[in-house]
Amino acid sequence: MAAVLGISGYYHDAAAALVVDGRVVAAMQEERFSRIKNDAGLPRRAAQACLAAGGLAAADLDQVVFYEQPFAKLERVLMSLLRTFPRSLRQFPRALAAQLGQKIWVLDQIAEMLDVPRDRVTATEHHRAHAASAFFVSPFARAAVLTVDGVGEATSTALWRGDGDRLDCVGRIEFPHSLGLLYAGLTAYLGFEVNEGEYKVMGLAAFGAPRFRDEFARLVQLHGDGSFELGLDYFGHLADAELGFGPRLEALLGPRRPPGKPWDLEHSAEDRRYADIAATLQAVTEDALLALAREAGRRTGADALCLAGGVALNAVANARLRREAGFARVFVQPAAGDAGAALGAALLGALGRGDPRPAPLASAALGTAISAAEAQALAEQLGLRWRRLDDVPAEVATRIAAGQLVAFCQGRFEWGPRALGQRSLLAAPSSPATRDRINRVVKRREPFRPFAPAVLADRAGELFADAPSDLTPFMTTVCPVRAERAAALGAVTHVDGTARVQTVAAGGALHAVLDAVGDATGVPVVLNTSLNGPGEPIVAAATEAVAFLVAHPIDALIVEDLLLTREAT
Amino acid sequence: MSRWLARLGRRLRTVGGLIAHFARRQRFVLLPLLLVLLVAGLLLLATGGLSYVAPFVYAIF
Amino acid sequence: MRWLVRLVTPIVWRIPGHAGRKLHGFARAEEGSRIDLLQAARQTPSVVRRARYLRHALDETRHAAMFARASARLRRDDGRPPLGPPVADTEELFERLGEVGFLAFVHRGERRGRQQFEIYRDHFARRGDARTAAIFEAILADERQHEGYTREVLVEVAGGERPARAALRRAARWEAWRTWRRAGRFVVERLYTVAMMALYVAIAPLALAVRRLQPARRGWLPPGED
Repeated sequence: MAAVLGISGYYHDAAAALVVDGRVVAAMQEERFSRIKNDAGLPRRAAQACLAAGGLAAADLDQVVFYEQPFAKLERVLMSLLRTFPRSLRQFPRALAAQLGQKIWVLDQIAEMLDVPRDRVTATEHHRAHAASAFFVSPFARAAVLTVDGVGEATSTALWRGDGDRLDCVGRIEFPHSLGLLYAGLTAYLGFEVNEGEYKVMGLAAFGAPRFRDEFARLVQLHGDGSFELGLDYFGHLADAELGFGPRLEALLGPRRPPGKPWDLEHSAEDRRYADIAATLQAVTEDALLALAREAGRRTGADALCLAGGVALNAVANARLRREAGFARVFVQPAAGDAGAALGAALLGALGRGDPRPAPLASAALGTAISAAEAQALAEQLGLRWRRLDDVPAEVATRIAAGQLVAFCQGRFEWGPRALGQRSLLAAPSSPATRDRINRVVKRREPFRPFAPAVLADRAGELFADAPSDLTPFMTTVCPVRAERAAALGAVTHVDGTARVQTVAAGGALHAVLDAVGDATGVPVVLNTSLNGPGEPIVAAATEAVAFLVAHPIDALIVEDLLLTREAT
Repeated sequence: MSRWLARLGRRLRTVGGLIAHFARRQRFVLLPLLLVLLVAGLLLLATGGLSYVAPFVYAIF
Repeated sequence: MRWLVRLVTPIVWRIPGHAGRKLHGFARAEEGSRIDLLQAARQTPSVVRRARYLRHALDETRHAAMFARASARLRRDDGRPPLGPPVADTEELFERLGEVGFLAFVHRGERRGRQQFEIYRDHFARRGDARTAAIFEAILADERQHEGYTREVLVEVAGGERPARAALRRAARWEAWRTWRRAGRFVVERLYTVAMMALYVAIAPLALAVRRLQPARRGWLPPGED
């Protein structure tokens, strides 16, 4: 029996995860502590918090596993720079600076950060960590596993056979042929920030039509064996983990969209053209993923599929895979991106030491708990009103039914980028005006960004097709809204008639709220968006939750059983 | 001083591991380049640790 | 330092396109301040100071947004695209300096900022750009308040006026060392870049050989190979 800490860091979304005696004890992203969005450092605070959650000191750890092999990464970076000579002249110094100044020393730095013997710190292969993060917490004894991201050491895509506590690779595709970097490159072309804007591209795609397929056929070719190949001439430097688009891509698709320019899909033909490009990118990515998933099924003979890697956060693509890839069941863990690989690394360490597989992941609440006492003390200092509630679900339901925006903080914060009722902003799901208000004055996002519903699991099928499923508890898929119920769900239905649904099983605070909302309105659904301002990580502790109330025009904050408002309640 | 020496020892072992990795992968031809890069890397290590954004500082130029 | 700011302001802010870039830089500085203040709010043992740091952090959020909008406007006027949202980092000042050191550093930063912004406000007012002048005026009101409360709290936490002054002197020395290190880093980075580019040219035969003999691989590769 062992205590193993997994670490991801130094690229984007640093995180730590602790597995003790085969049980996932804690998993947290560093950004929740540092308050730096997509923190790209080492997860010092997250690691300390994981240890505290497990009641351990660093000296109690049997092993610390980093999610990537730094020497293999340097080798690939160096080889890529040489292969792209002389185009990579400008990138050569910068790409190597990151490797030589920081990344190759990461295992030493982790040992120093935690003050553990260096020989307890090991590294695992990046895509294996991704695969482990999905398969070993899935409900499947056997499954095909597909990992797709920008790039690990050198692999961008891998197929795996998962069986019990084994993971065997059955094929891989190498950088620079990468769906993740294709999506990232086009995200930058569309004027969004890479590693943050991909969700926006996914949402924008629903407003367009995929009418650039001929052009995209030059950017990515799909082969009959399920593999794919990028048209490398259209992309810029291929130095590190970036795939900039080159002048030939702008000649093909038109000039890039300037970053930060406000969107106007209603009146701007140019913006509608960009939406069509987004739609084409989404369609082509889905086609590629479908081919990969089918090949994974063919090579493994499995009837269940697990997905991991940043591309697995594409909920729209996951829905299509579930419908068309030929698997009976599909699972994606809530932190499918690089943060999730910290969990995979920890699981590989634990299983390697003979510990059993953990139970299937039933909840994403793996962070630190929130303190109502701390919130109350701070509220008093800031002149806010507060009172203790006897019936939290009833209070939330009443406010939501009255059209209010309610920040809802309960228990341990979520693992992954989605708010699942632990750190959520809740509102009524019916009115598009509510959605527009939240987008405009609270989240300050592009107007085309949709919001997502949370619904009682046992009534989800009444309102959404394809729900519930293995994907819906963690909001990793989209489901069509049933036409006859669409009027009640105007604020959470996207322009294409789908919603990224969270189904909530019995037990837990959000389930009680949904029950109360259902009793009050007849529709057990709330609009559920993450509790964070623009460009900020999701709230974790009471300090940030109270700051959110002060800074944003919401109506109430509930921390455990404490209600806080700006005016007298 | 002993902490500094322990740190240096770890770094040197890492350098050894890096060279062994390239030798194992039969990338011998890259080894001279790697050694030059490691020297360059020392420059960066010496000045590392400063973020590019300085809070509470507004650039004059 | 004020003399230097007065000297360079008329020149620096007139460089085409530079004003928008500078304001974007200010937005980033405010963002960085915000993050450090949030970390301080989390880590201070006093709930009274937690509230004060939080209010300060919220002010910095507002300032960052104001500077970012002004930057976008000036760049638009110059026919240039906006620079995107300001993305900041942290220096983990509270942990690094302790609460007394943090307060001393922040107080000095706010005082310096206040002095600079007074000069910039006057500069833009003289040039007839009332909008940009108004932004600095609005932010100045907060800067004065920040300068005031940080001094007051520093005296309280340091345990008196003398220890507070000592902390301010230590902060001044630390800032000077930091500035020296930044300058050193600036020089080293440029040397490094030049050296690496020269190296790149020198390895041309190796690069061409790798390109020819070990090109990027396409399609499915067997497992266990990188």
